[in-house]
Amino acid sequence: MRYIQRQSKHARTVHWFHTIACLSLFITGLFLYVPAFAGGLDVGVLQAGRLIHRIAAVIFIGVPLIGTLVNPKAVAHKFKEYFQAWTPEDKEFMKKFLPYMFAPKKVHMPKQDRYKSGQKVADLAAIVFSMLIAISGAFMWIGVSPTLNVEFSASLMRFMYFMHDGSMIALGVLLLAHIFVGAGIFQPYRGTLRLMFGDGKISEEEARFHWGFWAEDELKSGKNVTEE
Amino acid sequence: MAEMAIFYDASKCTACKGCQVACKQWKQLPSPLTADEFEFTKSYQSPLEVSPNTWIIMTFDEVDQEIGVEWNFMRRACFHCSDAACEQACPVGAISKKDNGAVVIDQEKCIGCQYCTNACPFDIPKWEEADNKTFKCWLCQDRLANARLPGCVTTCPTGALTFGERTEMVAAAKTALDDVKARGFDKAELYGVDELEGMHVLFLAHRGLEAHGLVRDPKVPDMIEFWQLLKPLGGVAFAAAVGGLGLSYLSGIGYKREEPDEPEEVEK
Repeated sequence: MRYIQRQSKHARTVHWFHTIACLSLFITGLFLYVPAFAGGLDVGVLQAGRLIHRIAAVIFIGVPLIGTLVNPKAVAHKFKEYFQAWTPEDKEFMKKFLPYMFAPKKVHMPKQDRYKSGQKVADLAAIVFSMLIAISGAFMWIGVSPTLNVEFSASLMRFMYFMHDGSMIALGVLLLAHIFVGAGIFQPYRGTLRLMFGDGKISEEEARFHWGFWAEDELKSGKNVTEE
Repeated sequence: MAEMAIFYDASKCTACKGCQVACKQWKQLPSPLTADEFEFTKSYQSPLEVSPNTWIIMTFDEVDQEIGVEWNFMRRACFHCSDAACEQACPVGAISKKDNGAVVIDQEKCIGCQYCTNACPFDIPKWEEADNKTFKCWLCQDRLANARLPGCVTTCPTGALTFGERTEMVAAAKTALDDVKARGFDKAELYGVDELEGMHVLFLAHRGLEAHGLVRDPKVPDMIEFWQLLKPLGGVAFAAAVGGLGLSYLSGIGYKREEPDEPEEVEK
């Protein structure tokens, strides 16, 4: 059977770090988001949670930045593809996406290039919300840091609290959908977990099903194709 | 338990600062021991602001008049609001409203996040780096539990500070308002009766709210209210997402992939 190398080691490493950082941020953040969760915990545990939250935040912000510095061409190429004009298949994919999620046996999706149009929209939204979280989080951290001793106005800090939590909700919902699809919990996507948490390869059949145009190009070039 | 309140009558206050000292003494709150700790401002107000170690100050608004100075004093400490922004903002439930109306920070639970310091419309709670905790007046809960008056009230030599059931204090404040108006203070106003759904420190500002440095029509900041709305909205959003994805999962049970398109001939 033929396999195509879809995700590089570099991309998978960044994804691993980001997965750990994201989960740590959500879990530790939840204790500050829902007072009822924090109510029964010792203050020391909560302070440890805040520390972990900040360490995870550094990873959350730093790893993609370092990843971009290490391989700027790949990142630039990815963004170039994200902003390419949509093809009729892209538009059809978006139109059918919701019906497909609730009736995968009846709705058939069109072929896609390397990135599905829905994937592009979700990824870009996730990047925007991540940036908003990072910016507001930085203000919230710097604003209370005795070391930096920078004083922001109370109204600015209140806006940052709102932006941080609002963006977290949006990113959290996107993340749930990402896990559902990306981890292959959704039956038509079974097997996609290997892309980020395995060796980054996808079988020819899976590739043709998910990203038909891209699979054909890859199989033609043979550059990233292996027989197993 | 009945709601309690302090009533501060500025027309009776001489700004002796006995209340400041009594508060520090009862709570054993330290004063700075270094020389020139406070900036010299030509005002009798000292210190200039409440702090983690000074929970109450007397503010001095000193207005030059043709003859002498017009003194406008105000008691600056926690207002113990019924609609308390600090309580809403606290992420760990460390700030609570007591049955007697006091808004209290539980130091065992405070994590020093400073959300309350940015939420309070009066800028009252103050964070201390050494303990990484936030402090403010707690309406002497320990004294009240032992049937004693709040420290600041006990020491007031002119009767400017009184304490009792809130309904009685409101009635006393209204009587005092009529009295000072009869004495010619036309701009006299009460503060705290209705503001923020009723405070547990009431004020008689005989020269008007602004003259005594009080914020007219204080409100819980809009952004704090929007922010608090996010909590239930977030819960609904996550529940809807989980529900929707669960439905999607159920709809995919028994799914079999359609035959893939015929592979195009691949050049070798």
